[in-house]
Amino acid sequence: MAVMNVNPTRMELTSLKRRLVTARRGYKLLKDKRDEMMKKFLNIVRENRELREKVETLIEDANKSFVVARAMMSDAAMEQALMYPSQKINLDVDIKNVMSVELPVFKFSFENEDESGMYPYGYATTSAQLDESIKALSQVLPYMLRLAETEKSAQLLAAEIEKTRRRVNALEYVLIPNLTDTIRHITMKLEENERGNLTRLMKVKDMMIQQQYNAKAQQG
Amino acid sequence: MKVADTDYAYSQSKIKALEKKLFDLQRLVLLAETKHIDDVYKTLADAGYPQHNDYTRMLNMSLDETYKLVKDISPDPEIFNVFLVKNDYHNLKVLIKAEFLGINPDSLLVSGGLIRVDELKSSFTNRKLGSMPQTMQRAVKKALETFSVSNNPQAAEIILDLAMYEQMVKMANETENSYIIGYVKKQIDLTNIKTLFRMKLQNKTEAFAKDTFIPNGSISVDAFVRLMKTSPEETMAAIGKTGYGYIVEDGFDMIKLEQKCNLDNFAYIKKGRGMYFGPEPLIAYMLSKEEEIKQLRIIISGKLGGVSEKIITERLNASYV
Repeated sequence: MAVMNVNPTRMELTSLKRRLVTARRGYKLLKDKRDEMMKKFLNIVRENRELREKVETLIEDANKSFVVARAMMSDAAMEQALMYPSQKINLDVDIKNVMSVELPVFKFSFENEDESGMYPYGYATTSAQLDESIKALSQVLPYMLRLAETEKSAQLLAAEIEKTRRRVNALEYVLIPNLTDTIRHITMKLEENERGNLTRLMKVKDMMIQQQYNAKAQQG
Repeated sequence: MKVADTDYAYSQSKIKALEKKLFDLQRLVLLAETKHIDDVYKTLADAGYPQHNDYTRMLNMSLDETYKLVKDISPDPEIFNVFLVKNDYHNLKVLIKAEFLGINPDSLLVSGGLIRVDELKSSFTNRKLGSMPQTMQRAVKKALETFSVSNNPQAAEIILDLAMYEQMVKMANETENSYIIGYVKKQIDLTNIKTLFRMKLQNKTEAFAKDTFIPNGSISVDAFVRLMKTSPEETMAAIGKTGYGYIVEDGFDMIKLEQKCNLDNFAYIKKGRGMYFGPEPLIAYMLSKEEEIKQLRIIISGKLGGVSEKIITERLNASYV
């Protein structure tokens, strides 16, 4: 039992009772927030896992393709072919508010709409395998951006969930029990005082009756 | 001065001895099946390859040594120029792109061209193109102009590729050697066939294709452009009539198509090895060495990249004889 260091007065009792009501309301709200955030977090994590698996498979395929292309061409020829990119991407980062957590939203567009314009090299000295690799990588890019978005969102939500969980726990296991105990302690203390007063009064009354009785006996 | 075929007697005997050291398919497969990469390096060192930690550097050094060797022992070193001009065009592509990117191109420049790397770099940087052949000068000017207007590296590269083949055809014709002329023609044909399939896969337009196919091959540019709109079956049938039918019989499977192009090319190169007079065996040795290095690159990079032995061996079987 943890009792707060306060004076056991009626005024303090009223103020503590008010604090207990606020703490209980806060606890309920935070618990609801945590539960809702958990729901959203689990959805994001599920999507994140699917995306990660997809991105990893696609990247693995692209890398395999690159290994073959790299074998077909010399290193210098490969580096030369890829040194000046012909495709550019515009990325806009927006913010979405979920349960007061600011999550990023990525919007992107290719500068060159023509898909066939993404190959930055000629045909005579390059391998068709390189086309495959570039195509595979360009296909994985939208998923990679979405993955970055969900991973960051999951990270931010997890931090907020952790913070909220600490608050909920602090309310549930520290503040509310402390307030309840202190209130009980003050109530008991006040009741004890009350009973003391009553006993004292009864004792005084008994003493006064005894005095009156003694006085009457002397007169008689 | 034209050198007589009989003047190659000394160089031929030397090359015949060196030819025996070239890796045949069986030895390459054994190399691919070697468990540890260190054993591959050991075998290569035994076969006379220079030792270097970086395999790319090692293969490049070996290639440079081969170029130097054939030039040194040949009575007419100029005859090899047609095969080396590609290095100059590679360097020009690097210089142009590096200029637009504002980076230092040195690490990507390769030696072995007709113009020394520092010379080419300084004439390009100072725009003193006078020392370059006319075709190269024109191409550099056009590529720079196109790049600055469109900011499209592919367009600039295509201009340089066309110029490279134009120069190769011109140089091959000057040698009056039917083997060299035939080799360049074959390169153009095979490049055009691969380009046709690649452009069809990329949905390129006929207008684009017209400026991309290389002229002076055994199939005309117009014939290739006409095939841009045809169905895969019609395209394969049309190519089949040109004598390159077996190359395209797997359709749009680009791996197989490239392997078959390689086989066809290599079969042509090997024809030169069997000749007894003239520069052909020297040229065939140099080109065979290039092919060998290409296959070694497949083996080493495949092993380092975690590609299974089975896949590497399949690839070797499909593109080396």
